[in-house]
Amino acid sequence: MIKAEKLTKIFRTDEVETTALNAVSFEIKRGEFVAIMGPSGCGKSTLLNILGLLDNPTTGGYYFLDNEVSKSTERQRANLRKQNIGFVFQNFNLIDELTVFENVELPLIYLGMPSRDRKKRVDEVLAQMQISHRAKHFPLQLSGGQQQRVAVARAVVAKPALILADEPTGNLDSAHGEEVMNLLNDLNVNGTTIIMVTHSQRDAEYSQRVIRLFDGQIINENIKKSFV
Amino acid sequence: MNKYGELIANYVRLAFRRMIRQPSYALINLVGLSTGLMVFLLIMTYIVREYDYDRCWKDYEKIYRINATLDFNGRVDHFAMSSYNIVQSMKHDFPEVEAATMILRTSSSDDQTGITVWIDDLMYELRSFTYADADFFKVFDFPFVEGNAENALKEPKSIVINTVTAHQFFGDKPALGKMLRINKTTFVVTGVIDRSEIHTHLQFDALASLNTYPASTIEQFTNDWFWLIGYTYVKFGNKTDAEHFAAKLDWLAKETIQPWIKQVNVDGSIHLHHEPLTHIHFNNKLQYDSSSNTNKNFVNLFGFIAVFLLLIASINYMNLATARSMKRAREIGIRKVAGAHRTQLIMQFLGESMVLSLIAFLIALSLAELSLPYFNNLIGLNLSLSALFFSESLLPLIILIMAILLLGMLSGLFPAFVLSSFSPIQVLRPGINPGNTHMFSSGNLRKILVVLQFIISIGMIISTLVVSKQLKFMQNAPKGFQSEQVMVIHFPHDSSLFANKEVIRHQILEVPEVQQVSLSQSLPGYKSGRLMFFVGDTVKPEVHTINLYVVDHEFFDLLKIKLIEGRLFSKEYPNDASTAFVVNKAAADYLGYPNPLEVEMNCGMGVQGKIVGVVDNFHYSSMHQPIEPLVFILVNKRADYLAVKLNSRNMSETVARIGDIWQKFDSKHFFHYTFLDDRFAQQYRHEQQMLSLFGYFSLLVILISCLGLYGLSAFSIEQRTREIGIRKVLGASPRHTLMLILRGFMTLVLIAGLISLPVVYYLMTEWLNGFAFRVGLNPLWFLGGFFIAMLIAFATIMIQATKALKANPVDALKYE
Repeated sequence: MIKAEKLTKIFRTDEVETTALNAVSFEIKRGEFVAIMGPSGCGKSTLLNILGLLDNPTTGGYYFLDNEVSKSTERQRANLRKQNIGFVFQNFNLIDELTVFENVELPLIYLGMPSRDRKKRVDEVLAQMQISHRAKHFPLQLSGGQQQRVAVARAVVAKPALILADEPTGNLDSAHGEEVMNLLNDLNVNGTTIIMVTHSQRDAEYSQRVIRLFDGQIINENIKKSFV
Repeated sequence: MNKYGELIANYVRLAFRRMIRQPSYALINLVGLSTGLMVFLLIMTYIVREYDYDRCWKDYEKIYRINATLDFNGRVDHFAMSSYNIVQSMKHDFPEVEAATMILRTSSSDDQTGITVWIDDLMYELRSFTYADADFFKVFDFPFVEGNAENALKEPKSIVINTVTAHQFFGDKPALGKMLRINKTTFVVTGVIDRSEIHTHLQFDALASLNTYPASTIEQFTNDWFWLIGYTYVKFGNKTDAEHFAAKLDWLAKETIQPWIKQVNVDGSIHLHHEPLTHIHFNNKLQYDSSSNTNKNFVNLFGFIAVFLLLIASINYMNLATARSMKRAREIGIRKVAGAHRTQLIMQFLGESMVLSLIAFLIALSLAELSLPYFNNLIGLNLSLSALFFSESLLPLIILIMAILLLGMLSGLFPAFVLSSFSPIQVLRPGINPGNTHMFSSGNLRKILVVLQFIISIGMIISTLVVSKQLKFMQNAPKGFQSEQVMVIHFPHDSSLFANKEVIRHQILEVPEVQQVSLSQSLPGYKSGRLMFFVGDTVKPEVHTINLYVVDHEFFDLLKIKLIEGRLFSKEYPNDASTAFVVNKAAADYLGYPNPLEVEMNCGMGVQGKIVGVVDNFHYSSMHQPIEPLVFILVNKRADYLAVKLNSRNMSETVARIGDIWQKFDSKHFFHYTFLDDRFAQQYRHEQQMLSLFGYFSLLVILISCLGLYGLSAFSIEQRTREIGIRKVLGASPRHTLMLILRGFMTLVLIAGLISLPVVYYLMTEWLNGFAFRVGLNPLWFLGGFFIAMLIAFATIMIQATKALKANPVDALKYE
């Protein structure tokens, strides 16, 4: 599903040149649950941005669903993204002015799905995330755990093949964190590929494989569970 | 609903929710935009009216007025008027002229005094009344409510009145065929016209048939090409006929008029011009033109003010929207991650600003409707907003729709591009402050826009100051005569009343508060007549047209006009009435004789003799014009005004007593009076209106600018909360902190002042050049205006700054 070949990302400011990723290569197969770990500033988020088609690498090749996308335009990336990738963030990133329902509905609107189908699909996902009773509430009326469940609902509503989660439990207490991890695990069991950046060893336990980054390079890649 | 409909509904919903969540921000924008749009609506209505003058006629593009220019001895005068022979020539000599008509200028044609009308035994009043020939309604298709255009002015002693007058005179009964008496003539009402939808420079409430004049008078009209008695209008058969008409008018002047001039042995010439009807309203260059005419620059100036106000409100929106971009950056990131394209986001922000503009427009419309009566009162017109929406031309409506769209676009476009350019990577990570990244360089543009706002604000404040100073100057500058406590009674044209003039004078003089009484045909502030004078050598005299005042012996003393050479009219010289002229200094200088007291003069009003005295110059017309040459002769046949000099502490009682005395002699006319200084001040009506409007508009401009500044400083301080907190912890004093906040904004206002001052100086110099007598520009006014703007800006920012001062630094740091 994903193939990275010598991905390099260099950030330049007026005087300083920082290499965030340095010739990173790996492959992720459909249905995998991969955790990316490493200390702050090691390039985890940069990698996730490139994998999520939010950014292009400076050099190197990136194949997403067999398409070479490292030189794609913003528009092409946006199109691929909205059909195939869902995002979950540490700080939930819900739009405060939209209700739970509307937040979850957003990707479907940009996909151009008809209103009736949208309603059906959103209702399904909210039920799946056990948050249907909160559909008309605004994000600020919810607990952190509930907000993150809404965010997960939004990430999966368009049935993406890939979910990218950026420290999904970082802002949650352990009980709520576990809830969210269970949700992600369920999704993975049902066939969704998941790539998760995390600091938490506990969360990493849910994955089948951990990619460890240090100073922009992969230092260790270990398969924890058998992946069949 | 299709995909785009869904999106738009989503944006609209969001725009409303955001307004409710952040009411102060929405309020600043709504107040600004709706105030701007309200003023825009009012000014548009005014401009539409002014540009609409004389476009109400079916054939307005084919109608022209014939204006005469007289040249005597190199003194050239341009008149809106022409002589009787000219209209006759138009009617008979030019096949391309489909119809030609003349409307007379009379003493009661320009609503200066009003005229008394008798119907049976009841007295009524007409504001303005004049005569026109039978073809008048062939040129001007006034809608007839009663009677018909073909026959209305055919017969002598016919009169056409407007619907308002008809209602006033006859109530709801038909007016057609009714009799009314003006002076000694009884007229039959032959038509009632509806003027309510007619906006024209032709001002009259009643129009009588020209052939009411006796044949002998008309015969006199035909004897003189120079005698400009009225206004000639022609209607061409085709629009293109007008193009070659100038050559034909030259031909008429050369072949017909010039030989006559030679024959009467006068050193002068006439030139004729045809002026399109639609140009008249904005033409201020001709003498004796319609009093409704106005200055096009004045009208356009208000157009600029309207656009400025919209611009300032729009700038507020842009500035606040981009300043708040930090708060919205996350939303943009989320939308992008969810699959939004940049164009969709641009559409979203434009949609929001459009929604806001539309709401602002609806508020503005109600506000404009509510404030219209006050606005009408201020500009002395009777405007209606419906003119914008239901005008025959679609242009006003198109401009209005364009303005709203443009306002929405202009306000939304810049924020839309800035906000939609955010990259989700930068805005979605926690802990990143987008304020520090390059993409917020919109800060510089924001500064430029604030400077622009204050350039306009400072300019408006200074302009208001200058206009008020000029107005005060004109009202208070020495006029060269005393106008205080001079009551002016309008003397009706009535020979029996005139015969009693000495008795009336004496009785009025018996009122203890009355100091002096003077009878004349002219007074300062009223229009004066102009006459041809034959000066010097009696065999081949020079011909001059000079303004004429017909006065009595008391005139000069009553108005305290100073004699500088010779003597005034005196009862010791009984022949003065037929042999003596007094001139003002301007006339003495103009005639150019070394000793003016030896100059022989002769005028058409039966006076032939010498200049016996020269009086000092005084401002007999407004200070827009230089003091022109003026000749005085003694009253002999009739009078128009009775000036009464008072010395009274109880004006109303004195006026009532004089009124009682007057009415003993005259029960056939309304008792009309005014005060000379009021009348004189009326000449500055335009400037007075301009000042009030300028005052209100600059208030609004500064209000909206400060509203923006208030919002902007709030956001700026919010952005710098952490910085301020750190500074406080490190020991910054309140003064330091305050300086930190104030410095940025006040520098912008300072820069605006530096740019604004020279521009306003130039514009105000240009404006003042329109006055023959004007104040010198005082640098203090400029500094004062600038200082006022600085002070208001300072106060606005201080409101926010004090909040930052009071804040506990610990909170600010915890917040991070």
